[in-house]
Amino acid sequence: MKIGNPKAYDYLMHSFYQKLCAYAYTLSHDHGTAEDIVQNVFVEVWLNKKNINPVFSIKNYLYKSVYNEFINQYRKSKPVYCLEKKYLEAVDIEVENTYDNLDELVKLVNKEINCLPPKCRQIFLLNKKEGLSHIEIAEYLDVSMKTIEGHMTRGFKILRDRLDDKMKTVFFILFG
Amino acid sequence: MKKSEIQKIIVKFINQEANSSELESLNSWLKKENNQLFFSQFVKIEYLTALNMGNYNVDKAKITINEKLKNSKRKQRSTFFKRVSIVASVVTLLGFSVFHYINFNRANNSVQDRTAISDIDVGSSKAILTLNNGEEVSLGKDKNYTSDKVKSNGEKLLYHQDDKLRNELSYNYLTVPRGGEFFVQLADGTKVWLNSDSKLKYPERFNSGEPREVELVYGEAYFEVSPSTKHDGDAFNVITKNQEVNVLGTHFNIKAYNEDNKIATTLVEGRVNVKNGEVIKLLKPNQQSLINANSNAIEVIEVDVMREIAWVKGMFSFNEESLEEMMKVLSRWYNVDVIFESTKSKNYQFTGVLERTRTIQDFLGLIEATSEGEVHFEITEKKVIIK
Repeated sequence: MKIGNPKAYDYLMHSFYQKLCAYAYTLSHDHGTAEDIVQNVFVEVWLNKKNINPVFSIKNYLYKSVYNEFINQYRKSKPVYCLEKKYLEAVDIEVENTYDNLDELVKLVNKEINCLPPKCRQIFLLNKKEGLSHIEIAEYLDVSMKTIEGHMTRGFKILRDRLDDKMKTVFFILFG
Repeated sequence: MKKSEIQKIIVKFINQEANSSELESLNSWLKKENNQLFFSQFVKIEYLTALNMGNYNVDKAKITINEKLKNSKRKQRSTFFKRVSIVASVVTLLGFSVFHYINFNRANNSVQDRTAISDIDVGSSKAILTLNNGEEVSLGKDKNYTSDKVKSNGEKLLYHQDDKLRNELSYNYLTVPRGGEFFVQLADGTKVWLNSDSKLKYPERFNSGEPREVELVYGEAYFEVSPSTKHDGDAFNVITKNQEVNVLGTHFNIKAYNEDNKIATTLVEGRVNVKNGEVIKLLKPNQQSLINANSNAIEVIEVDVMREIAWVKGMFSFNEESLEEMMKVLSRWYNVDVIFESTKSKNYQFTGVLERTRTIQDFLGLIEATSEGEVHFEITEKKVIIK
């Protein structure tokens, strides 16, 4: 990577692009913005490949760069509210916490999303997958905003409860 | 505020749908630390959902990145500010790492600092052999023992069957203290691994034509029984309190600590019959039978045998095990007493594998570091106190 090997670059893209986009989406709440942020980070990585300190973990470097890019480029106009700051902190903690068994957790959530009650699931996916806002979903389905809010809250609540056991379990690193 | 109300506001906030009065109330609600934990669980769902939903095309992205690269090369000379931001990010990163490093060390040191005065040893091979005349022989590292029937190099005890004469059976006891483990090969070639705080009674030699019989008085033992076919069909029985296990050459584990009030028999290979009074159950590999001290029933469940016998391979292996159960295991291996000052922490669950050769400080340090500040240990001499 340091000497600019395109293969290493490819490897980085394949191992991190999806994960970083999901992270950036969690920060920005927008799929397009998320991709933009991550692509900019990869451009930076390529341009600065000689200056990257190999002592630091590339994973931490990438996640931190995505965060900085989000703050620097996309939040320029708005000050970071206290609440927003708490949210960003919480995201960072969760990214760190889940990293070691991420694949397992993602599968679990995927399974549980599919098990949501049909209406709840539809609204949840319209919001999370299609990126529609509450009001857009309300118009599209011809129901009230209250209904959308109710289903969204229910969806989150069910997922949280189902994962609750998993969350109580604290994993410690294995030493072989 | 009601829980359902705040849940709704959290979800609206995450979806960027909350109005200013809702933001206001969320903000003040989050001032409490417990609430932040609840809040971050919702954030976690959002993040894990994003990982499921995102359908990002890597190949397209590569093209876009290439274009962006071309553009930026043209502009490069005027990007002093961009450099500054990268430097800033590296500095932040450095700060971040140092912070984590300090944090990690703090977590690690804390247990160590508080244990400067204590010295708790890692468990090792040791046992007391009681001969049929009542004489006691201490076995352990650098303590060799040889008689006409048995020899030990400090780690194992090997019996040999020298004749085929029928004799009155004379029994030996092997007692493994807390903080110990021992291996014994009986006269018929059956191998037995004894865990800490366990006691086995067995004859010095077996008589041909009679069932071979040993007794696990208490504790935990893993048996690899020499097959009956090698011993003219003589069965092998293990008696434990009210339980009897009849085997025909197989591998299994029996756990019967007095404080547990139950006997767990886990079959790794072969077949065994578990007998509790009149009740008999046949176990297949990967099954475990459970008998309660005050019941005649035998419950049979499927288990992960490798986890059950990890101790034979020198490992601790826990799967969503409560801290209470884990501390029982640790107290036997490290020979410490455990005191729970907070009953709440008894139910914290942990998963992981660790070598038994590590110190108890290593172990507790890991738990402390991963419990996010929920569990604290204090070690004084031979006691572990959980705050």
